[in-house]
Amino acid sequence: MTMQTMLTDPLAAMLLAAADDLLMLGHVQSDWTGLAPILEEDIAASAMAQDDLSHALVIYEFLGGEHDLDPDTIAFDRNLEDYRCCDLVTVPDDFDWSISLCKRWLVASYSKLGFDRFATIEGDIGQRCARLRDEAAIHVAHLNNWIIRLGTGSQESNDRLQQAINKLIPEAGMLFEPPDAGLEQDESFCCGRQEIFEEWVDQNIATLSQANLQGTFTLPDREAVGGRRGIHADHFVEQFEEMTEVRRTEPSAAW
Amino acid sequence: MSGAANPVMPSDITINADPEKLAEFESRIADGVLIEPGDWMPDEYRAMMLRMAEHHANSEIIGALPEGEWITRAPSMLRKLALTAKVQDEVGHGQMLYRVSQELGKSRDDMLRDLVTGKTKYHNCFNYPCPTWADIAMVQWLIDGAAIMNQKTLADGAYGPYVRTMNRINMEEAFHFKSGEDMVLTLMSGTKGQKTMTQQAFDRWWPISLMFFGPEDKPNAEELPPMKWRMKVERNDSLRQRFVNRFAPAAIDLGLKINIVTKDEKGFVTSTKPDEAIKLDDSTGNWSFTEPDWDEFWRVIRGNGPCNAHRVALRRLSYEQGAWVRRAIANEEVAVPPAA
Amino acid sequence: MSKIRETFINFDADLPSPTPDHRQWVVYTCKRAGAPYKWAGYLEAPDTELALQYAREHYGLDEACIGIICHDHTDGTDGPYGLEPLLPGEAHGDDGDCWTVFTLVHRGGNHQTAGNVKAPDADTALQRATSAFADGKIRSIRVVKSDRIYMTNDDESPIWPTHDMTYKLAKGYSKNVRAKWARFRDERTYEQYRKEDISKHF
Repeated sequence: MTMQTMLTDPLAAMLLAAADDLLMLGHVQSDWTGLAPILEEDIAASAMAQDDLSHALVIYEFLGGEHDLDPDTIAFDRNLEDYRCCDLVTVPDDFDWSISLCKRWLVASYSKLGFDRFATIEGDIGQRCARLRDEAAIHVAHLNNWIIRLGTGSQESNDRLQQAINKLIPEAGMLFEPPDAGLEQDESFCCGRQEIFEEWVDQNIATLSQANLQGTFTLPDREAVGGRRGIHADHFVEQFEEMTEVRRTEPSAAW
Repeated sequence: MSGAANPVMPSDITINADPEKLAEFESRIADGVLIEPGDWMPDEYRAMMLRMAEHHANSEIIGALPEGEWITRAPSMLRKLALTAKVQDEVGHGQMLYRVSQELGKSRDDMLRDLVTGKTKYHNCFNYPCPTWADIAMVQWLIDGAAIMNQKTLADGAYGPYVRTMNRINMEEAFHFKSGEDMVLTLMSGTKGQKTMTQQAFDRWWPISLMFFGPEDKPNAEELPPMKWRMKVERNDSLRQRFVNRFAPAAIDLGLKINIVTKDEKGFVTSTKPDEAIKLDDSTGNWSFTEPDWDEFWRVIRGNGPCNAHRVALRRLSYEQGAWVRRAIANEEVAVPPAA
Repeated sequence: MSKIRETFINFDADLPSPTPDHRQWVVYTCKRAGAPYKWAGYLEAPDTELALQYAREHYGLDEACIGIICHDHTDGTDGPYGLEPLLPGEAHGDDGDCWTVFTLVHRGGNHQTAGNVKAPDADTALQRATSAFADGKIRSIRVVKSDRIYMTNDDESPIWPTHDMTYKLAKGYSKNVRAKWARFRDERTYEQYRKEDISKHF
């Protein structure tokens, strides 16, 4: 009952979209801990993955309070179709740092714009998101720096980043898919969809051009249905099953 | 998983240092004075310290792998965050200990290359598998508990840069241990399935924990370089006894059974029987226990453990997969203005 | 990627060619306004910008802190590490550049900021710093030209996150651990065990 009220609430839908992106992005990135190309960057990327997970948790805690749900239940125990993350976040990186980096960069810059807007909501969640916005900005700065560093580092690294960008860009527009819960036609929040998209593209293009990289971004039709409306790619399902593997063995247990 | 200093340091070495300088160096150490990088030290001391710090750093880096396997499957947000942070800490400790080693004369890249090609070693306990979530709890409780005991003594050592790094690291180990203790308590308060899984993991990790401190030292260990130069300050047996005194009663109170086990070549338990030796000797305050299988210890340390090849291979894959990133930023300079 | 963690790979080719180590940086953190910056650790980075980012993401998140500074290891000059506390000297002067002074109380301890001196070169800076800061307690001094010291948050952005970070601190577990032990041990036995935790091991 409470889960159902949360899932049909338009604000909750927007918040879940943001939180689920960060949950799955942090989940996938945390797997790199101990294996990244440079020890210092391993630590930094893991710290950012922890931030992403923590930011998702802040939102789950807020929604849990509003809808009388345990934050872990929201994070782990929904039906697959009730996760609202964009499938970009679970695109497999096949242990390729260029995919990991470019994916995090595209999502972080989007996520920061989301927090900018959530921060304007009156009340508790607005205040919570205002605090997270500054940390999201630090991620964007770090990732921009790396895109430029590797884009301009060597021909080899430029090629690798360009290939990663080419692979991810077709999925990336789906970050702007409106989640359901009556938001499909809503222009107010998700939110001037066109306007956020343009802001996001401008930032990305500025970084790409400093990095000697190219990318053309297109905004998919509102009707294009994907992860935000519960139609997930296989790679999301695989990640979700892995994430809940232990938890599902003893569904009622505390861990 | 935590690293720890090499449990089998070489002790039979010939020292070719100026006898007068050596005598002064040793008398300083005997007086409890710490050695700092600018001080005179015998070449053999420098070589042994490098070997010890490098081995410890390697152990942190490889130690990140077994637990790393479970980050994506951690069953709650708290556990997911904590395990990620814990494995991240190990990488951080490795990074700091490689720096201590660099100062003693070997480049980080050389150390990583020697590690991934099997030229250098890391702590034996990371050559065992972690097949269930409960293994993660046991590793953090038992192995990190053992590591804290060991590293606390290492922080009483004589080499300044290693000591200050050890103090810094121990601060974080307390989190690892407490998080592990919380996990074990939660599992042992949980369902029948959770308790069974925890007992099985305990059976796998109890003997590894006993081996953690290394075999019995030579009778004259105090007169040999590793202890005379305060690279290690406590005998392996004495550390092991302290470990058992603390953890045997805790395990029993939690409802865990301390067993003697046999294992197959993959590190899985094939048979168990209660360790009848486990009991408190009121006269000494020590708990008696059955020694672990030292043949197994030597077999694993020589490279024939359940996971030796796999751990090194994965670390090597990481080294190879990341080479293009390191090449791209080599020698690059990006200027930012200094702070006011 | 986890599948790769479980896959066994056989290598037959040579390792990729070596890459040189990057510059070494020394990092210090400050816990609260007005407190000194204390040595926190080291890192490697090719340049200042990345060194600062790495310092933030590693040492800035080890424990709550409000500021981080770092310098290239080669920009630091250490005086001798004394067996006894240093005696103050007679070197004084206010010509030259500004140098930041770090002092060390015990061998094997951590350097921390003590103040500044002016001097034309590192050796003079060490002598003047000894005159100014040797107070009968310190055993060594490090000087670094102040314009070679970089600060993480001169933009005043936060270092320690605002969201809950207790998951990575031992104290974040203490209450739960105590409550859970109550199922297994009486309060007195637990208290004894906990005290041993602190006094002997942590």
